[in-house]
Amino acid sequence: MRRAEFEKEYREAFDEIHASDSLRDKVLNQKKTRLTIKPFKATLVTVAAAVMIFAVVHDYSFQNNGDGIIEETHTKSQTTPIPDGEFSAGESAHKNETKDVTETVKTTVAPKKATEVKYEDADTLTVTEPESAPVTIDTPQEEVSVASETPVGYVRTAGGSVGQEWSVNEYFTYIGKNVDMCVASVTEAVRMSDDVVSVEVDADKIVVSDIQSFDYAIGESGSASIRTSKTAIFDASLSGIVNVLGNGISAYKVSEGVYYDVFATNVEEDTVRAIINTL
Amino acid sequence: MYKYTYDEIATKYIDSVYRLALSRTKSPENAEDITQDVFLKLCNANKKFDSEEHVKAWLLRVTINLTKDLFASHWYKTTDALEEDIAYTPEENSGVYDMVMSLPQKYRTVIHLHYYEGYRVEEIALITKATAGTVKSQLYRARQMLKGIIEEDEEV
Repeated sequence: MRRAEFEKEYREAFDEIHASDSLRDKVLNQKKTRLTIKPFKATLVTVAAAVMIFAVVHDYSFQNNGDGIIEETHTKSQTTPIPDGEFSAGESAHKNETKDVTETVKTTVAPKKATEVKYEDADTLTVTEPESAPVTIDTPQEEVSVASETPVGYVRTAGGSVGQEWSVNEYFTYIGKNVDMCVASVTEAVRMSDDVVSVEVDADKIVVSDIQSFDYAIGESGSASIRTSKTAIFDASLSGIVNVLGNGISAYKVSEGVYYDVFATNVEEDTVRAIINTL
Repeated sequence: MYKYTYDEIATKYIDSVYRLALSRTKSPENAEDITQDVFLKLCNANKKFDSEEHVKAWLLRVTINLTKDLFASHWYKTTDALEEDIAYTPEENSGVYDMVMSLPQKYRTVIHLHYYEGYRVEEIALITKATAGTVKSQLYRARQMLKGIIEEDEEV
């Protein structure tokens, strides 16, 4: 097939493809929806600002699980009798001294909930609750599980074809928080179509060559991914940097010749950082 | 500075965005979501453009970025989306569509931007944030793969 013929047929195929009417309506209407939301956004911002000002004025700390100390200063008059012997000439023998007394009252706001989660190492997760405060736990306890055996994962390309098997050393899932992490000792090349793809890890650098997208399927339901789109050499000294993306948080780390890749959704940045720091 | 209204741009380029999203995701549903998100970004970006071409290139660039985000998303990874079968086929299909859709995603992208949108190598490099050398290499490899597929078909 000649190039001109290919181009013609490709164009004809895609000329048939159009955005549906419903999609057009949604796209054209979303501008109008955005304009309607604007006044509410302004109100929310104002309310949020007012709350913050209140917190600053009353030294209210959101960080301490709602602990706060409100200071109130009262001034009142206090009358005390002057002891004998301290009269000046001409003064009455009985005299009271009146002075203003300033009293500061501190009121402590009770903490609402204080649950502390510690990430001690990759194998255990400790959830501790403070002894002093009553705690209501609304969410179920979360656990970390580590596969006791060594599951074998496989690589799928973006096109869906199965690549070579990788041996996966460890499978780490923080259940309920959508953190998938693959730990792999990667030394072999994987072929994807005509491309030679490899990830080489050593003490100083990670060399990733021409990978479009790798998915690791681990066990029955776990997954993790490594992705890049060109040959690149990553500085291993930058490993452990957490990147906040639009739809999740990603990080990679090299530790003792092993490449770790993390992609997390619905998790706070500090949580991912804590996990990365345990590697 | 190029002055535009949202409605004008959305009406004019919605098909271009949708087609690129479809060529990358191979799924009409995902392509629709991506398309909607692209124009939502245009709404929110309040961006200034130098020309209409600049607008289109920006839209296609954002489409590529959002499809990358989709592939990296937890939802995408945990649903059975990576099937080898092509999810959508146009009615009038000479087979060229199927052949291109069987290529890896990066090759489909350069093929689409070059043969359908008419961009030159340097322009594709700017849109895909790759070097011109990489784009040339990808186009070359894509053509080689297509040639291989066509020759296989002819043998059959």
